[in-house]
Amino acid sequence: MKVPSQVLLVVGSPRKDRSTSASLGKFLMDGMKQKGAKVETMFVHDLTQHEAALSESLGRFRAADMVVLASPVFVDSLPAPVMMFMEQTYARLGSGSMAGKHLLGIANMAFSERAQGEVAVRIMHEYAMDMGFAWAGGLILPQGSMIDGRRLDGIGGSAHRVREALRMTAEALMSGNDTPREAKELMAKHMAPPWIYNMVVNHMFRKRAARNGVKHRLYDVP
Amino acid sequence: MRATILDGTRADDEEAKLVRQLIEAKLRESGWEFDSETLREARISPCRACLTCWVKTPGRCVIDDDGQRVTGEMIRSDLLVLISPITFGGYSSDLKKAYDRIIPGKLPFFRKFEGETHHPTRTGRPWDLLSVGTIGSPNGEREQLFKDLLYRNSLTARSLKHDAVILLKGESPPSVQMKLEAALRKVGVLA
Repeated sequence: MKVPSQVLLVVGSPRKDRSTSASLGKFLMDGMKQKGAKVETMFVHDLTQHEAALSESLGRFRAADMVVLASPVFVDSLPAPVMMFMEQTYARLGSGSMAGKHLLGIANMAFSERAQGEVAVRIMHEYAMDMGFAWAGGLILPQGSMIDGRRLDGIGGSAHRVREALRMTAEALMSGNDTPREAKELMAKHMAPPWIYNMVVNHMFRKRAARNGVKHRLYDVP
Repeated sequence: MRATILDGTRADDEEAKLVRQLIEAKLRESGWEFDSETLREARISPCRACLTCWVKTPGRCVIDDDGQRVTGEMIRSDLLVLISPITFGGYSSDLKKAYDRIIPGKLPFFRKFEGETHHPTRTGRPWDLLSVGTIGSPNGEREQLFKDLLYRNSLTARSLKHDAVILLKGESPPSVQMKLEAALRKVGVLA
């Protein structure tokens, strides 16, 4: 694989800069930048809301020699705007238009089971094949609520493995290699035991509902 | 019994028109009530992942568009029918924008189901699922991915019955009918 010089991070979350997808992507971009890559970021939700923004983004998309697509998992697969972005880039640029370039996929979700992110990464892979990208690999992050859009370098030991997985990935990509298997395994490890994580997340939802005065209406069926 | 048909296909998709007509006819014959949505014509904004529908206005999405109506239809249904071109192995963005909005129909809490963590449905009832995907030419990987996606959806919806049907572009109407009838038997519409 050719060492990428121009890398484009495409963030698929509607929370844009405050998303876990952005946290993961930015940490990876920082690692690649340190090794000499020029990096740029775009947010799918900005592009799919405005026709002009999407048209304007296509030039930047084509100029990249590596695209990193970082997205949350919504209802078992990629969010609608990410699907729309993929449909539109395919329709406008055409089959095989990104030949000689690479795509790396990153999916994150709140649940603890890695299997719940696999369909999303497989869809990214199929998109890569149609666009002509070489597949640089897919990373799946479970228990994404542990990060919750915070900067990875501002989080303590619980995110240590995530940082390490992304460092290993940046190192491999900037050495002309695909995402290492060890990085995929590290990324998919639990940051907390699932039973504790679930308990904390459930408590967090009750707390937020209480703050909004709807703790006793959480089970309402309108 | 009640169903919602979510049609995420394009206007020029002739197979999809036939699929929808056949499914609607079978639902009628079997005495089901149903809503049928042409999603490309609906005004549905994407889910913002704001979680307001869980922790501020439980069960209600704050985006004021057709998505509110479609979500209500989905929540009240026993069966969801998802019709889509197979798009990189998944659903079209038109179908996904509606299906992503099902979140108010779920509770925020994590509960174990079939060995995995999922959000329970708000009504406590499952949604059975039938997906129908159209594809231009045979592609084993994408057809399997489309089926795997429906399987994952069935866990999320806690479905008791589910099936995914793959139709080739230009497939003969008798073949389409046979496949759909078999699937409708599997999800309990036909005896």
